[in-house]
Order: sequence, then structure tokens, then C-alpha cells
Amino acid sequence: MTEVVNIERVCSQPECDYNKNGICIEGNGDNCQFLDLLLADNSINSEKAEESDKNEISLFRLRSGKDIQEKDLSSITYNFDCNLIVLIGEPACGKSTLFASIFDRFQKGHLGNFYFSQTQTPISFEERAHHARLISQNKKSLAERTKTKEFAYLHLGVRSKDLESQVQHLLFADVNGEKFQDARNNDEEMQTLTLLKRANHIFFIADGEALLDRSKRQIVKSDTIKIIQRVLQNRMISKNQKFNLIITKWDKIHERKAEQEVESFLITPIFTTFADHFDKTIKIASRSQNEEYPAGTGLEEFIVLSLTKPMRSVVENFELSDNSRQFQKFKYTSE
Amino acid sequence: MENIAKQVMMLGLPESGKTSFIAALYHYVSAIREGKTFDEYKQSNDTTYLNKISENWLACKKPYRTASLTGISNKEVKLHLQKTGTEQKIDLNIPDIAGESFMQQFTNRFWENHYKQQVEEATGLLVFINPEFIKHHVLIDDLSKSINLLNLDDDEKSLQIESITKKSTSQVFEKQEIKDSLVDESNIVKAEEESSENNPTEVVDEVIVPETAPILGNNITKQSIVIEQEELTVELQNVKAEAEKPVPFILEDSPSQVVLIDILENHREIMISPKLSVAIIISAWDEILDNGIEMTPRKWLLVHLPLLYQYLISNFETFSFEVFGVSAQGGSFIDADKVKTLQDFDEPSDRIIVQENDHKDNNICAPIEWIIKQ
Repeated sequence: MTEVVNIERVCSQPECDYNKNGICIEGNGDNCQFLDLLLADNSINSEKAEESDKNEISLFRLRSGKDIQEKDLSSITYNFDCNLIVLIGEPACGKSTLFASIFDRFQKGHLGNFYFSQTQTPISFEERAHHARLISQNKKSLAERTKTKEFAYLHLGVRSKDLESQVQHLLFADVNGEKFQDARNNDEEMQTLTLLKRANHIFFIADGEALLDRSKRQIVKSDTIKIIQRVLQNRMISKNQKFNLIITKWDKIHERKAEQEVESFLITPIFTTFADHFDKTIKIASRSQNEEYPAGTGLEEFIVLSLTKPMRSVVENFELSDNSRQFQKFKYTSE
Repeated sequence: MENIAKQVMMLGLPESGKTSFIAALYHYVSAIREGKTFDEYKQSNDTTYLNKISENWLACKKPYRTASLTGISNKEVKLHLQKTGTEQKIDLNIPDIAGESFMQQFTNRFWENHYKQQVEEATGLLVFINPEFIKHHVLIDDLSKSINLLNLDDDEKSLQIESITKKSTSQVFEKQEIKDSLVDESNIVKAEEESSENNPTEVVDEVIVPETAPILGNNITKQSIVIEQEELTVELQNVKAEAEKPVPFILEDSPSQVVLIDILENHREIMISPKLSVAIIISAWDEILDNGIEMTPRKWLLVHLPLLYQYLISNFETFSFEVFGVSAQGGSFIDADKVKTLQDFDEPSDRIIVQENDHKDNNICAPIEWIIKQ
């Protein structure tokens, strides 16, 4: 996108009088190599001027580097085959921390068998990572709370270290946890989560630290089960689509030797009750200081699972929505 | 033989060594010395800028900052080079763009259209990185982990973490001193006594405020002191709360490697060339060598900027890259002793250091030569 701005010229040579009276010490006037261009305040004019004078410059707008909005998704899905990943969880359960810690991990080196390859949302990753950084001056590692109640997307491209396969692209859908609270409580709200039908992988995420707290663990369990039930009740996923369960802060569970307790309290009941719908559990320790569960434990497993292509094309009873005509030709029929 | 026109773009954050490189390169190709790979076969039409920066380089003075307030200006640098011993002529255009401009590409998210045209036509990129000015991200958890290794008790650990993470609390201490001076009853009592002794008939509410509370002036009542105390206590709490507040996210504080991959990604998308040649230049390489670090420039990049390294290597279909350690100056122009040593060179280009893999010499053309060869 091209825009037009007004500029002023400023000489960088201290001995030159150009800035005072416009007289160039080099005798080169407005074309002198020592002139810098100063953007005038509020000068960006998004409508391209018909006639430009010497004090106007046309600019090329780069992409924002921030969250990709729903309406702009095609800019990325048009270019790349992306897996859409949705994490469902209550507020402050660790969704943003998970995204931030993946990017933080790549800044220290490869993540398991993967190299970082690209991102179109570096600023969004940085924003989410900020409160875990020393520069934030927090006393302990925190995460930026996701504010938006509309889904926004982070992009990450990774490549296996042997470089034999192509770059693989992930789109992480992120939204304020309150959105899921509303969806848990209300069918109409749940039905607004149409992106679940498009998701390649859906992860339910539970806060491991809350599971250690007697005053919170029942609520975590109850909330998780209720939202799973409402997703199924509203048929927000296709029949063969599988969920995965993420337990965050597993290092803290390990420190308290509560692995078995969490297994029997949450994991087993969920996998038993929803046996047809759950695939895997990933135990994540994003910010651990425990030697046995070092920081980043589980992140590679999360990436590997996120990158797999579910066998959605063989879904027998794939239900077409009104606006899914483009998929008609792929519809599988058993007749 | 037809001249080949090449456009090479220089990228780098502020003070990453771009101008020093250009100054040294200009001197190198125009100097009378043996073993050069390129000569300047003719001078550019306008060498004012080149001569200015070259003069500083020759005198071992800090280079002009190519500072720009907007990120939209650049200094055109044209060099007409001929490969030594051949007829091959290359007209090289290397715009010298302020490092601030590249930072602003990251923060403001726009390019001047003129710059876009230059990028589209570019053959390759010289990406400058000065180890001294790299911003790394440091995780609070990493800090805590390091402190945990110190065998401190919990209070000491907490103090250590706070002392490192918190910004200067001098403002808090200043307010605390004022408050302390006010609540120190003995000061007030003493002042009252002194006052009574000097003037027994004077109302007791009038006290001489000790010098340690200068903002209160000299004639203040006890009641007013109590009010001031309360106000200052509230203010102190506010200041403490302010100090406790985390510092908000500032885009400019993003780690250097994140900024660089974003800038490179924008260039990659615009460049017409299907495969982009990127010469990474680790500048002030003399500092690395002086510190006794035996590391090839490529290894240095892998260790110190792993995200950038992964980005380049995992996009090998669209990037070919090589890493050079370059000291265009030969040493620091701030260190007076070093400057004297550097000024003693009869041929200034002898002070240039260029390392590619394990090989070191003075050939500052090497990164450009590498780009042209691709």
C-alpha cells in the first residue's frame, strides 16, 4: 500500500547552516547527501496525492507484525498451507504463556527437532513474552493477558532440522479466556466459535498449578468438563475430530509428587468420559526451573502434534455448512 | 566488456558499523597497495559524502552517524570497481542508510517507495551486527535459576532478584527520607523544646522544623505536619506502587535478532531475485579476537543470535548466506592508546581485519565479492 507524507529536510553536519537559513555548506541545496528527511507530525495522508511536490514522499506500508485478524487471514492461508490450532481454556490458564515460551525457546536455539523458520507476527509474540522478561521488571515470570474478545492469530513457520521437509506453518488462534467462559455457559456463545470446525487441532488446556490447589482444582475440573460437553452438544467439531489435553506447569505437579493424583483426578476421568473424542495429553513446563522438567518440556511434543495433518478427508459423515460449497467436491460418500 | 551494475543493500541497526565499512571499503579500493581484489577504475560523480566519512576513518575519528529522524533518507554511495587483473567492471551502488531507519522499519512499519525500488533491484544484502549493541532477551526464570545456584536463603534470593529486576528506587528513598524526618518524634520534641527555651510565650503549635525536612519551610504547625505526613504517606505508597508496576512493552526494546529477522523477511518478500545473497558482517571483530574467543564468524552467529541463524538456514531455498567477521577500523576509536597504534600504520587499510571461516586478511571487499559470485 502506498501513502504520501510531508517531510522536512535536516542537515546532519553541525558546521552547516542549512537548518538555520537553508544555505548548504556543500552548495548542493536540497539534494545534498548530508540531508536527512524528517517526517512532519501527523503528515501521513492515506490518500495518494495527485500531484506531489518536493516535500512529499510516498511510502510503502509493511505488514503490521502484530496479530492477524480474521478478515486478513487469507493473506497467509493463500500463501501457505497452515494448520489452525485452537487452545481452549479459562482466563490465565497459560495459553499466551505457551505461545510466548515457544518463541522464547527458539530465541535460544532450535526446539527439539525443529528450526524456527519464519513468523509474520513477531511483535505479537514479543508482546506476549514481555512479562516473562527481565526488562518488564516483574519479580516473577508472568504472561500478558490476551485482551481481545475476537479471535486473533499468531503465525509460526518451523522446519525439521534435517531440512528435508518443507517449512510447515502454524496459525495459533488466541482470544481472551472470558470468551471461552461465555461459551461454556451458553449455547449461543458456543455457536459463535465456528473456527473450531476449521481447526486442525483443538487443545483443552488446564492450569497445573490450580490443580494443586484444593480450593481451585474442582472448579478447573468442572469447567473443563462443562466446556467439552458444550462443544459436543453444539456439534462444534466433526465426528472424527479429536481433542487433546494440555496440563501446564507440570514441573510444579512433579515437585509436589502429585502426578498420579492429577492423572486420577482429571486426566483419566476426561479420557474415560470422552473416550471417543480425546487423543493425547501433553504435560508442559514452559517456565520450569526444575532440572527434571527443564523449561520448555512438552513444547516440542505440542509442536509435533500441531503439525500433524488430521485425516479429515475420510470423515464419513462430514457435514457441510451452508457456506462450504467449495468443499463439495471433496465430500466422501460411502454409497 | 559490458559493465555489470550491481546494487547491494546495507542493513543494520544503529551503530552496527555500516559507515565505517563504507569508509574503509572506499579507501581500500582507491588505495595503492598490492594484493587487492578490486580497484576503483573511475571515481563517482559526487564523492563528497565518501570523502567526509573516509577522512574520519583515516584520522581514526568516530564516523559520522548516518542518523535519520524518520528512517526514510539515505546516502547514495556509488563505487566503480574493476576486478584486479581482469576486464570485469562492476558499478556498485550501496546506499548508506541510518541504522535508526531500520529500527523504524520495525516500529513504524513503512518504507519509502524509493527504498522499495532499491530493494527490488538489489543483488544482495550486507547485514551488519555489532556484538556490543545486541539486545538479548533475558527471562526472569533464567535469572531466578542462576540465583538459585548461589545457595542463598529465601530472603537473600528475593533481595537479589528485586535488586536486579527493579528500576532505581531512588525516588522512593527520597520520599522515605522526608517521611522519616517527619515521623521522628524526637526531632519535633527537640524543636519544640528549643522553641520554648527561646521564646516561652510562643504557642507550642509553632515549631522549628528540623533541617532534614527542608520542603516544609520554617513556620509550620503540628497539625500541618500531620497533614503533610498523611499526604506524603499516600504519595509514598503511590510512588512505591508505581515502582512496583511492571514496565510496559516497548517495541524498541525487542531483541535484536527478532528485529533483524523481521527486517530480512520484509526484504525477502520484496526482492525480485529468487535467491537472496546475504553476507552477515559481525563488526568490531577485533574485540572478539582481542578477547581470545577462538570462533569462526559463522559459529559466533549460531551461538549469539540463534534465531537469526535458524531463520537463514531453514530458508536456504531463498537465502544463501555467509558470515564475515570484520573490523573496518582495526580497533576502537575511543581508546586513545589504540588510536595511536592504529595511526601508526603506514597503510591504513592494513589495519582492517576480515575473517571468513578460519581465514583472516585485510580484504574488505570479500563480502561484496562473495555476493557478486553467487
